[in-house]
Amino acid sequence: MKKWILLILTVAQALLLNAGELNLDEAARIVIQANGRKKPLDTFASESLQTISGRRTFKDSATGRRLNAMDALLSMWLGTRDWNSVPVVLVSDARLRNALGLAPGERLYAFGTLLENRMLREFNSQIQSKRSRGEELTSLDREAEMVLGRMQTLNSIARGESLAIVPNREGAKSSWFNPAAVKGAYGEQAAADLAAALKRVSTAYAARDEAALAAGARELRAFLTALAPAHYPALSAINREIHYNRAHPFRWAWVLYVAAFFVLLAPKARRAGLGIFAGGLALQVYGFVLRCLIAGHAPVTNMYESVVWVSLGVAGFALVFDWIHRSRVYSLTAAPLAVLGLIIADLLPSVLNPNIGPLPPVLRDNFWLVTHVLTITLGYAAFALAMGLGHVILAFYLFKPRSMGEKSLYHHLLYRVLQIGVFLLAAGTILGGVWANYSWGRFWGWDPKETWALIALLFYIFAIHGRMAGWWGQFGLSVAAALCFNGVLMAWYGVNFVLGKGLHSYGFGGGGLQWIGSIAGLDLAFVGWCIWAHSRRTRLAPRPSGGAPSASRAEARDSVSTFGPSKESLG
Amino acid sequence: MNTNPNLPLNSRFSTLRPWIALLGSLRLAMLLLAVIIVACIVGTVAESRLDTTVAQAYVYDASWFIGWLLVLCVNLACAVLARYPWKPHQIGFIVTHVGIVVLLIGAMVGRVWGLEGSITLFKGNQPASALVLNRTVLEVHDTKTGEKASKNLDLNLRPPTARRPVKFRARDLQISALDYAKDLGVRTWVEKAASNGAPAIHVVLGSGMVPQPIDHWLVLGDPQRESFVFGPTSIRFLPEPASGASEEVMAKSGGKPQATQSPSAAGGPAQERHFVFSKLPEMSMARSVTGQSSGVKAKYRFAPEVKSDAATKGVLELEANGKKFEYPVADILDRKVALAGTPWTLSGVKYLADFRLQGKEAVSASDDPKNPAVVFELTGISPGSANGVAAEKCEHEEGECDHTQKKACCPEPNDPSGHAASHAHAAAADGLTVYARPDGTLRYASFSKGQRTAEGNVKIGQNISTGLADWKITVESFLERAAVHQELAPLPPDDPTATGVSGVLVQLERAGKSARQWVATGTPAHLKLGDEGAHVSLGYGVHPLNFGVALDRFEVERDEGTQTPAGFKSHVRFVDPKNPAALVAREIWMNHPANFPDFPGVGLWGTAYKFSQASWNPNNLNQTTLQVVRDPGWSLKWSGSLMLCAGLFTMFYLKPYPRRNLTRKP
Repeated sequence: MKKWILLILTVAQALLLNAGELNLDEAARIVIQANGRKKPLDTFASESLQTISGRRTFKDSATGRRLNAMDALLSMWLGTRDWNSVPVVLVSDARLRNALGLAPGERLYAFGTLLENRMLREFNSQIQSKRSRGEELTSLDREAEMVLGRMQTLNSIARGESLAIVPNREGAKSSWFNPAAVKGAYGEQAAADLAAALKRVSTAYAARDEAALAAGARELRAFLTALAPAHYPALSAINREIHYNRAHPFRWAWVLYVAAFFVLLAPKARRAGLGIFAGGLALQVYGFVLRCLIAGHAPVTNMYESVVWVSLGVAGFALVFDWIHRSRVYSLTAAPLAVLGLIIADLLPSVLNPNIGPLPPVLRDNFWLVTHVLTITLGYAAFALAMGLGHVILAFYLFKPRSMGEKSLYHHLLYRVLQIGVFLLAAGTILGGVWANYSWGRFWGWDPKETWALIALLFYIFAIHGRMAGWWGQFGLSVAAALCFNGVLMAWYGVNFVLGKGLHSYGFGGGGLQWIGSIAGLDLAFVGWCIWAHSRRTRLAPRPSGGAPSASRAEARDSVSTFGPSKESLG
Repeated sequence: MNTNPNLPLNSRFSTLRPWIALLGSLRLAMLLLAVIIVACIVGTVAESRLDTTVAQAYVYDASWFIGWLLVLCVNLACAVLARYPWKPHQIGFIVTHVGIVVLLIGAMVGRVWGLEGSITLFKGNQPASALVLNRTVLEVHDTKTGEKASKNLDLNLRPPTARRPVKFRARDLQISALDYAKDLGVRTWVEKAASNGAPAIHVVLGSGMVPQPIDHWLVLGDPQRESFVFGPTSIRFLPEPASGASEEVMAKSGGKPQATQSPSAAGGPAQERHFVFSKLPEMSMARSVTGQSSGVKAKYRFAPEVKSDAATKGVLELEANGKKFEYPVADILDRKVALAGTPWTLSGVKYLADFRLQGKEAVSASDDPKNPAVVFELTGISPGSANGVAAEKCEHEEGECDHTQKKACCPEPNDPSGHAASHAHAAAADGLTVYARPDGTLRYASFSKGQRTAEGNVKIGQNISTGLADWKITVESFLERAAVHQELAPLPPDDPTATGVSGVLVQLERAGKSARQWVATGTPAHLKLGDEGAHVSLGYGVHPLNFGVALDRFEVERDEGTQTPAGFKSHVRFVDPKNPAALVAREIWMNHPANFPDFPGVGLWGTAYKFSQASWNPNNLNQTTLQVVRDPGWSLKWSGSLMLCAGLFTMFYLKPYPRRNLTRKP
């Protein structure tokens, strides 16, 4: 309950953040080239603050005031306060804090404090010598390296080095300049003009004069545009990105899913509940479209996008199945799953990086890749929904055993989801082979990612064929739906974070592993409990005729040829 | 499953039917699936924990796994056959399962008849027409018969051993690979020579600082073998100086016998390496690299359990020219610090938490401060004696110097730089010196920081008390006339001189004669067998192409404003030697391979060579590496895949599906 209150407070805080703040919208529209992409200063500010402090807003411990990212960036860049002594650099790892002898109980430390730290300096020289010798870094080294990187980010903002806001006339993809380099690129006059424009912005910002600041930023933007009008991004694109940054469509989507869940629980509110649910889905789609427009490519690049996409898939499948089968169990199951996915994506930006970046070379420019990734992750989504349904069914067996049986409709509903999952995962895995045939030259090479996608698929195929062989019944298939998702989790998350060489021993991979591992372990215990309770009950009570092993075997042999739901479920 | 007695096929089919039913049974399928799942999980874990090649060799490429997939293929085919005659509603089932069979057959075809290799092209080079295959081949060219033979070797997982040699023939020449070594080096050994050879001694060194004793041959008068520098100490084998020369003087002047003859020695540039240990102050040692001893005293205080010490890595105390200095070690790591008021500069300070000697290198065995040590260098001007020769000036070209005649053998003032360290006898005063007497006996003297610590007669096979830390040195044998031999041979494990050149021991036999030699990867060798012999080479297999391919241009696109590569593109030219005029220019980039020979629909068949962009060299942008694949099973693979997907779709969604039970539920 506490967590829920905390969540609601977080949301409320995010919504109320703008109240009483200096309006920096005009300055946010200045374009910067950073990390391989042109973006509004607004995005750069959030990404930088995220890198430095691990959060997208900054709580000033001295004044108790909360600064938004733009405010923090401007004051770092324009030097309106001494950031040397402000605790803003994240040192998240407790072991590292201990090793550096930092004051315990804090997470943020001042740049100056860290700069003076003798142990950190030694880490630096150790890391460099290890890198030059090609040795593997320890997890502590990597944490220290991240802290050094954060300090570097802050330092290069304060020195203005990373603020490549001056466009380059020469080409659309050429490097932009920071203000200090303007003299060399555009001559003394331009440099003087830029300095004057920056000075106006700086003075207005220091005086917190909103009108003057907006006018100064507009002027600065006009000046920069005039330097290379052909290569300066259009205002509409910049506004769109700022809108995406501020609107938080994915956050609102999960809020709506939560609302839909509670409405759907009410007896006669299916339509209203589904309406809210569909609203959440629409918001999520809207967010995705915006993101694709901004990035210029399909959402196939990183874990963040795949988590959001899978949540979208879960919600989408639920809505479609709900509409076809007229059963709100789909939406009721999907809503918590989608919320879970979106909250993880929303609240753990240091694990799931939401920044939009350029694609690695192998992921660029390929039709097969996009179809492959989207198909396979939709397969994951279907199996996630099946996993949820499996749990719902198992919970019924456990808590309301009288309402559940081999003939229950829910088994049929689950089977429909498993079907779409098997189809999409099979097609996605094969499409992966087709893509690999183009990009790597070979169709199949037993790469861990490929192999685990196959293993996950084989898990489900094994479960379905075992059901046909009569080795287990509908209850068994529900258990399988719950258990086999571990294979999907392994293919999706495990290969990158657990098996991945160089990653498995370290950092967020390890941290995430503890969480996911313990959740999977708890889940196994729950499933085990269900199996135990179910077998005890079936041993004690006389079995209903339809569920007898001999009958189900006979029935199963028949259903081999049809591969359809069993007769039991057809009533 | 009832059979239709009216079918003409039936009579023959019915006898097979029980077998087909058995082979196509669901139970067998479940067993096959279960084993494949377990094998794949084991394979991925093995790959992540061990190595890709291990996973490939024991799972994915292992014959049992391939066989298992073949059985799966048979099982699926029989499962389809067992349902004959097929009914319309089974179409999805049949297409799906036949699709998997076709896919697996395609995989087998690709495995057997396919080809996978790579080719590295350089801009401006002649068209290349050979692929490098990812397997190691031993090739033999018999110079007597002109016969050639080759054999694939799996050096990583199934290297040849004496018990399991790899044998093959080139007509009457029997070739055997008898052994494999990861690291080959030039092995030097010393034998008693029949006539004219220099005296040699075999010394064994032991210490707590080295995991196992080290042995070494020292040869008198051989500039490369007369001394042996080892961590903080050194051993030299020199002719005994004339009775008038005292070892102390020699030691102080850098151990040069000629120093006594040089009337004008003066202080000069000097470099000195110090090893200090917190636990064993008496083990602290200094070794001159060039020049004379500085006389600087060093001490290292470090108590790891004290927290303030843990942060500073202890304190280094120095005493130079009567002045005392103290530095927290953490502050001076890899920094240059001038010792004010003295001519000395401290540099190259290294902290080693758990000091060990690995080969000749001082390393830290772990991060635990078990045996904390500090290594540093002092450079500056050595004080010198009033009438000494500047030590570094007294260098000589190798072999010029005749030690048996005690005259100034290095009057040349120009110092070939870099020789200093190798001439331990000339520069490193500290350590043990063994002297050969004209009467064939040996005498020794040891020095530490210019001071004699011990001397005496050497008894073969007995420990020499050196007074040098915990060094135990024994002269194991002494040869008055020795011959030095060299041969390619495996290096012991963890040898610091290992270069990673692997090789196999090859034996050739013909008509009762045999020859045996180590052959290194990439370096062809000639083995003599009587008058004739054979060229033997070990290296990657090569597949010749009947056309050439050349690199015209290589492009790297970068993400804007960064150096991060965004894409690679090779502009290549295919040249047909039969028709050199018809050049085919192609661009190859990520996800866009090029086929040659090219024809419409080439991508569907996979019978042409497919060139894909594989890797690049960031240091040479006129170079590209392309992966080359020819996969005759490709058409089966994709058509099988298509059938699988279509079949699944049919099975799940195109079947008339009763909806009557779909009543409303909460």
